Amino acid sequence: MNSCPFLLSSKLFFLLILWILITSAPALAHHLSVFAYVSGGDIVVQASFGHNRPVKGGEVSVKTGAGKLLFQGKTDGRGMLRFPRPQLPKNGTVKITVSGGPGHQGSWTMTPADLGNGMAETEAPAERKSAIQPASHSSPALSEEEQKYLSRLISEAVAREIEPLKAMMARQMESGPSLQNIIGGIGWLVGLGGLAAAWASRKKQR
Amino acid sequence: MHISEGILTLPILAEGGVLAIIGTAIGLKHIDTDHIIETSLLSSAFFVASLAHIPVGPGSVHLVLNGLVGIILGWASVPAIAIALFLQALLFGFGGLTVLGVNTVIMAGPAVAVYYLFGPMIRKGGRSRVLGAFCAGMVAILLSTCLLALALVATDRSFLDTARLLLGAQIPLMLLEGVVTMFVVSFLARVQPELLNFADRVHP
Repeated sequence: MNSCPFLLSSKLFFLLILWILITSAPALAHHLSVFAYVSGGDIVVQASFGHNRPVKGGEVSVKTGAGKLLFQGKTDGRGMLRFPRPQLPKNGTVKITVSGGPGHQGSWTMTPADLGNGMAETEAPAERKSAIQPASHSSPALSEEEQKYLSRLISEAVAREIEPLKAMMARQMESGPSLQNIIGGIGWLVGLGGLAAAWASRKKQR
Repeated sequence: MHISEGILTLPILAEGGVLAIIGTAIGLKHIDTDHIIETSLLSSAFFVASLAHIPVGPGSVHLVLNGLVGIILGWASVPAIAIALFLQALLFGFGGLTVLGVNTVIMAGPAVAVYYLFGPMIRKGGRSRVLGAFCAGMVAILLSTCLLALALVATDRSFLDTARLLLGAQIPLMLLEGVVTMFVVSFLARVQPELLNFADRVHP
């Protein structure tokens, strides 16, 4: 029975893996992922421990690139937090850190492009007007009021359409370890063992 | 059990790194050429155990299995756990590369401790084996939690607050690990008893 010592332990090991794959399918471990996006005039933060396990009541702190504290709050039952977008210089970044209990922390940095700093609400109408005007020569002329109204309608409609996409991105970001990674990791460990064993046996032969 | 990046201060990260390197060096010396495969298999078991979530109350806990790895591998559990943690950080994003040393100490330190504390009981056989295995699984988590709290002292909360918070959450896990370790050891004792003595046989 003992002639092949690792055969039984490998059997045990594969039973363990089987059991883990059965029990753990949807819920995976302790990597705290944070994702944030701009929605309307707000920044939405979403924090999770992977597949549908939101960080409830996680402490959120928002800082500028230079480390100045802008906002502090807690996530709700869905792991979300919404706060008004702070006024920032054009090239300003924001670092959002979420702490989910002792030892667990994750962060997400929003670049100027993510924040849409270049298109601050106050400047936008003027820029847009100049962009639209050449094209509007051929179309029935619109008054300035109508143009403003139209551009507001369009930006609202686009925001509404894009919102679910952003939420979908957020969900993608929080995916836990994939099966490929799990199998890959096991492969590495067993492979390293095999390599070490081969090396040791070669040394013995000499 | 994994501490994330960006929480600990530099001195603690450095201390953890140095301790982990020393432990790994000692551990590598303890791996006999005949037992490389067992070591790598137990390392894989530790690697995947963190993915096994068991719902407890409102949240869930994941297995650690450092007690089991410890009583079988002894000092060799340090490199086994270090490599598994490295791959977990790389592939799953658990913990991180800068905290690898600290996380190794937190999980492998208790593994070596329970090997010395409960190894003799387990090798005695009979009822003391069952009890020893249960205690090994449980105490490994208890010690790991204490080390975790100790590592987090330098952050914002006091040691006692952190320890109380963590221990409360880990009590179900301690019992669970105890039971799992007990069953695995009883199973191994029946089908492959020499595995339970192997760390001893290497360096008598």
